[in-house]
Amino acid sequence: MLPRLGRCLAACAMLTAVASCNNFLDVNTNPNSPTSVSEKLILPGLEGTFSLAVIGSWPSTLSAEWMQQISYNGTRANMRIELYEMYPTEPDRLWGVSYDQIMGNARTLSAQATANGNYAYAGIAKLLYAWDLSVVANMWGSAPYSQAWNPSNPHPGYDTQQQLYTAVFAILDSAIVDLGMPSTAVPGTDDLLYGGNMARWLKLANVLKAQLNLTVSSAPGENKLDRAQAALVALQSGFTSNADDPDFKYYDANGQRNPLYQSLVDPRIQMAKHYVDLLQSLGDPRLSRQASPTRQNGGYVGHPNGGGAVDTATISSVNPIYSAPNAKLTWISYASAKETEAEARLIVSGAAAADAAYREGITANMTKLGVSAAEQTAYLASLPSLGASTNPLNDIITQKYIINFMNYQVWDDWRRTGYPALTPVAGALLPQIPVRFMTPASELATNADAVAASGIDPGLTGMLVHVWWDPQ
Amino acid sequence: MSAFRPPLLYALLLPLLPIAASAQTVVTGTVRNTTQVPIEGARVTIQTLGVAAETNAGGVYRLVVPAAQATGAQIVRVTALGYEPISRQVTLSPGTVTQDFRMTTAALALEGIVVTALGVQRQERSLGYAVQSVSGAAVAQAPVPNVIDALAGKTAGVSITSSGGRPGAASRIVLRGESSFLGNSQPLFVIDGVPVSNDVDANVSGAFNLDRGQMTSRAVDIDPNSIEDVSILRGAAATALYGSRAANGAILITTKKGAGNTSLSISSRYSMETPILGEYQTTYLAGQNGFYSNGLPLARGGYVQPGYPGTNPVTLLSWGPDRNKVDPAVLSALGVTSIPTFDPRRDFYQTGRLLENSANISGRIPTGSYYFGGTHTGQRGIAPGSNFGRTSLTAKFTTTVGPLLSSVTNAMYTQDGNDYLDDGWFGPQRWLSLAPISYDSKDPFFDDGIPRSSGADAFWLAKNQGYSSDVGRLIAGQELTLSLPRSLSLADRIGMDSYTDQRNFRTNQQPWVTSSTGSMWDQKVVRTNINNDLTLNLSEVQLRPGLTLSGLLGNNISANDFRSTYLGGSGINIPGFYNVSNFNTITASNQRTQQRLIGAYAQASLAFRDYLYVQGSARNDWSSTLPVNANSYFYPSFSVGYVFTDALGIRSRILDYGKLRASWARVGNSAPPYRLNTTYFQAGYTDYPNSVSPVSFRVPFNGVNGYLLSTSLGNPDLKPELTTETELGLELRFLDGRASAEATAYNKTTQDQIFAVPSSAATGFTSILRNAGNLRNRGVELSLSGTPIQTHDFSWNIRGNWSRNHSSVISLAPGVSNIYLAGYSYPQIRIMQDKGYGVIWGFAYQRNEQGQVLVDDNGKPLPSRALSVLGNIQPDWIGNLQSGITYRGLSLSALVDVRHGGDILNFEKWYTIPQGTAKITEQRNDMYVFPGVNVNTGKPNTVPILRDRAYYVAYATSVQENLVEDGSYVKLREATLSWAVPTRYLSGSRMQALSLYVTGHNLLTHTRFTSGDPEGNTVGSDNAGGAALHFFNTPTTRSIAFGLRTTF
Repeated sequence: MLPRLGRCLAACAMLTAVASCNNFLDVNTNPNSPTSVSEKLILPGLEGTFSLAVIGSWPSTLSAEWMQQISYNGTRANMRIELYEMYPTEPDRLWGVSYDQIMGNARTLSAQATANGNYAYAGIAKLLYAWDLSVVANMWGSAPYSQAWNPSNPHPGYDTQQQLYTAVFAILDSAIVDLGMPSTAVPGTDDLLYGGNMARWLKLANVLKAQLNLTVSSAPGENKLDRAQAALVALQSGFTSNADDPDFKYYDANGQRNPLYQSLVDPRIQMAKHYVDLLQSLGDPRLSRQASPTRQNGGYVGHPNGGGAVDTATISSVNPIYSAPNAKLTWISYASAKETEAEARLIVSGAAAADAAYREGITANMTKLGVSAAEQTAYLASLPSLGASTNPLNDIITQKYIINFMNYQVWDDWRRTGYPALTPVAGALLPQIPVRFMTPASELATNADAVAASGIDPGLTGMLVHVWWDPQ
Repeated sequence: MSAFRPPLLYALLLPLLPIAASAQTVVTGTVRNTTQVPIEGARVTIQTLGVAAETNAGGVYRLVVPAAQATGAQIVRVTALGYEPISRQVTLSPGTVTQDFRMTTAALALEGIVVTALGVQRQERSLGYAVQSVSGAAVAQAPVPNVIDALAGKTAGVSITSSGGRPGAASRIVLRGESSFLGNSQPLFVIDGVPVSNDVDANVSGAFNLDRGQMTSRAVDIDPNSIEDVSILRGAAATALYGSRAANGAILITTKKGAGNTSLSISSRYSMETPILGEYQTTYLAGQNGFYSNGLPLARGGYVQPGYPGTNPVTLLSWGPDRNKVDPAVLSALGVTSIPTFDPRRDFYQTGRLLENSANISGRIPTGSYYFGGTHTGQRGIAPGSNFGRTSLTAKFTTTVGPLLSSVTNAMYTQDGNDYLDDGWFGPQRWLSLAPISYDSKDPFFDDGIPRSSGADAFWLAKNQGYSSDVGRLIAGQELTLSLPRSLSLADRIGMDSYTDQRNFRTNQQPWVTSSTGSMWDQKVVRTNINNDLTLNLSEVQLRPGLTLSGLLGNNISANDFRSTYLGGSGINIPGFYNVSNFNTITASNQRTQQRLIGAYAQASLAFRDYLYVQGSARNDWSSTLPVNANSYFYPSFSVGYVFTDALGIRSRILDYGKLRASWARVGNSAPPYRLNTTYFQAGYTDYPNSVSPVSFRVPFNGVNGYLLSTSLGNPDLKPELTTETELGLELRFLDGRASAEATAYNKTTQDQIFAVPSSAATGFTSILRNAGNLRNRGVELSLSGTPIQTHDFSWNIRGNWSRNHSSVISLAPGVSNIYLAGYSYPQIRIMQDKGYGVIWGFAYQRNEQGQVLVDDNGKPLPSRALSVLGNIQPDWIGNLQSGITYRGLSLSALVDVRHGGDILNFEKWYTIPQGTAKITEQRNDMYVFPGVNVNTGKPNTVPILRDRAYYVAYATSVQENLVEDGSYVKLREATLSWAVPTRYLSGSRMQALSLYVTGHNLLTHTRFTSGDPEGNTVGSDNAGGAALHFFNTPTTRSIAFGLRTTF
């Protein structure tokens, strides 16, 4: 019916239309967010997020409140954490940021950097990956690893803490290899921690390795002596002075402030009575560097954990050395590493052999906090030598407890050694100090079968379940 | 925009031209109204022959009857929107037969004409699906500036929730239930064929809606005075031709156009509104443990009664003494005879005022018609400093160019200005809800700006914190129709909707709060939607005697563009000076999204002897947001309308019209833009390691920028989501059309929903975009109307609608047990795999198997340690009843609106009960036997407990079932008294008509809800969950308006 020419025109028109359609519809490229970025642009966000979320936020809050270094001087409703109570969604934060931001991006960065021959970036990425995985393992015990980071399996199963630690050490060793390799691109200002000083990164990896070896040293099936020796070997390549400390620098600007400052903006988070009393009983000059005098009468007073609200002016707050907006946040210190060394030497060679490292750790910490030489000498003189001590492990861990004030490692050390001795808060929801973080509500909502298969108590009482390396 | 030419359709249509007939009879004439004004668009038919035509701008029609049928007497019937149908017998003979018609205005729109998809006017009898329309007059008369609010209570199956009494506040409208897990379930708005935005355009400051409330939705820009008619298409069959965008139904707004002689209409109204406040206790003064505190700072005349805990008199606790039993020692210490009390809520809110003036001029010119209208609305809100102003200009021209080409041009320009305060946690309502009755708000501040009491924050906020939004918006359309031979016409309609919203937020430094720093932001939002529909229409071609075919083929192109730029400052230097140069930290961001769609559609309707109508439609869309090689999707619809009274000849005096209708339709819906890939975001993280202060990390950090991979996984294999709906209906009319009834049942499922399925973070992503889940809405809608009495002078009419809808979850995504909608960790409103849609979830009392509350040995009820269902937000049914009587020029009407069931999570009670202002806390300091059974003995509890503050703290915060309230209401939504001044009084003036009216809105509300109006909510436009969450929003209002309308 249609003339031949007409059909031809119709066909041409259709072809033109289809071609035009494809151009017209080609607007689905996101102009707001990139789909690929260089290693140099991934590293700063990775380090900054790790520092805030893993070193500075939940792990440090839980540790400092449960280990009775700080206390909430307020109403019961806001004191939940101190009373061993938790909203089911609160553990989601650390869990989520660890898996989907820090470890996920560390894996992406490591793969991309390795492909490009940028081993410096790969090494840092692996170090942060291993570190965060160790924190996840320490917090929760079992957690996904071997089936994780695979979106085609939306319900990853859980590995035991022992399996997680096998992975942690393997990744850390791989990081140590990469950090020692020549790298096509080397970080500079994009490395917010060390400014591209790869030698320090290598030392940091070894210090972490030493600490983690001791963390698992008491676990069933582990040889404590071997672990201690491994720690000492690693520490030979570790920090040599406070100058090596991974002090993450913060600035007094929006989104750049020290996380402890940001959470201690709440004036009711103050020093705990247990901690202030301990330092006073030791005559420890560091008290004036870690706490501030009370606003009302001066002097140092702590708030009893679980106690009611009193006038904040009568209680000491955390010292600005830790809580100023631009205070540095030390991830793991030379001083702490020296106490790790002391503990390892105690295991390998006995208390007397540990004394030098023990004292060097205290000295380094006091120097860093600005304690005068005279005060240092007097304090060290007041401490009995480890060789003469009835409980040298208690002495070492107690000093580490003070050195690592506000750092999450305090809780790990307490769980595996029981030092320093703490009394559970009276009237708390649980009868004991928690030894595990609660299972995240998001896991119960999205991965319930895997949680059930792991055999973990997902409720509040799951916080009393001992992890593998903590045999009570 | 790349060049796109739409010749595809021409090519497709060419083979479809119908075959011509030879010799014929032409029936022609003019259709006019009673004042001799030509009626355009009237439909003229000879039903038995199946021929039909429409009148042109001059009211002229032209029916062509093939020679073979052009014999004998035939009935010619004329129908037109707003007029009574009319029929005349005509004897056909070869050549031209002339027959004119004169139509009278319809009292009740009975066998009328309705506006259907793409603006096509169709006879209601021919439809296989439900369409309901509301007249422009009914919309314009409601004394509310938002057209969505004005629709409340006027139709069936439409759920409208106002978000509060803030001027310019958003209102949520949902047709036939929630059809999306997380997306917006609101319908498409179309003005004169141009799809327009009703978007909320969330601000990008990262504010949490529960803290601050939310922006308005853009339906607020529409001037109700310019509306001729609103047609509501609820089902998928009705909206099938609109495709994706109308998957949740469509609201078609037709604006006014010129008709008749030149006339000037002027209307004016003035209304006053007052807040609908909740109940508060009025007995107990500020203080604690029964001891009085005067609330002033200690150094500035503060006083606490001896025994009061502590020394600081500043408090927001209403746990002081009974106002009538204050210790005389306190009175003498203060030198007063009694403690004066106030109503802090009423003292803050003022009477809102609205003044609206509207004028339009319209008429005909030889080749068409014109309409110009302008309206200015100025509103002062109930909260000091809040206001809304809207100036709207509307124009519409119709023109014929020669005998074949006609044109309709319409344009609406609106300029809005809106100033408002925060809702929610940061707004004044929180302070007001917690203010003790002994708080005197007359003089809230000392001379140096220090507040006399914490309650003064509300006044401070009104002056020092708030938002502004200034919108300029143009909606314009141009339609050209070319008449072609053989009952064909070609039409093209291009439309544009473009607006710019300039927003500002500022908050000053509070001089008495050390951590308060002051901040501001400016945001500019530009949204432009362009839409083109090209259609080839075939009007009623007779295939065989009694069988006619109509149809259309169409092509749709739409392009949506959104841009936002944001500039924020924090850390103010000079208090009260809001320029970013005055802030220590400046943040900026920008965003753009583009989305385009091409559609091709066809519709064919067969009518058999005007009693059986069968219609089919099909549409294929190509969407820019789907994968390039899978961006096409097809969806059909079918409907049948069967006028059984005509078919079976059962036309009695009692039942004069009966129709059964059925439809099945499927609508595809494409994805949001940019969701195929996983992208990187500018690194940053905010954590909440304690209950008080968040901690955050942001780049640029010390000048270094950074990106991290998003925690939401994109999906390169997305498919469109599919809505499938089956609808059955029955329409009946009785007693010569004096009464009518309509019933509709539907079953709608939405499957393969595109949503970000929450996933275990251990996958590396907290959400994975997928096609998953299946949500079903089932419901029944009933409408009844009638005119029980109609005499020359007096008439009484009545109209009612009733509907129920139930949303149920057929499946969520695999492995996902629940999805958060609104609220907190708990209590929250969520969707649950096993417990359905809109579950309120939190802590209840411990109960035994009989449901009795367990009480311990001390008489204290035991809170449960496990979370459970506390309620459900879905109402059982909604309904409305309107009745009016008219006596000569005087008429009185009332509209009652009912919602039955549907729980509300009243989260403000979490605060107002422990602080001692909630009405329930008036029952205090007494010994109370809690109804329940002893947990150990199982016997009824007999041990009384003291209802002190500790009791109420536990009541409100440990047991959240006490925060759940029944959201049922019965409202006198509207009542109107109007008087049309008899024309004899107007004879000396040039006025043709004058009417005066007084109308009230929300005059009475009967509800068990304790915080005022159950309709108010804080995050209403977000989703259904938000619409059932009450949290310190500005109270909704009752208003009364006086108005006049006159025509020259």
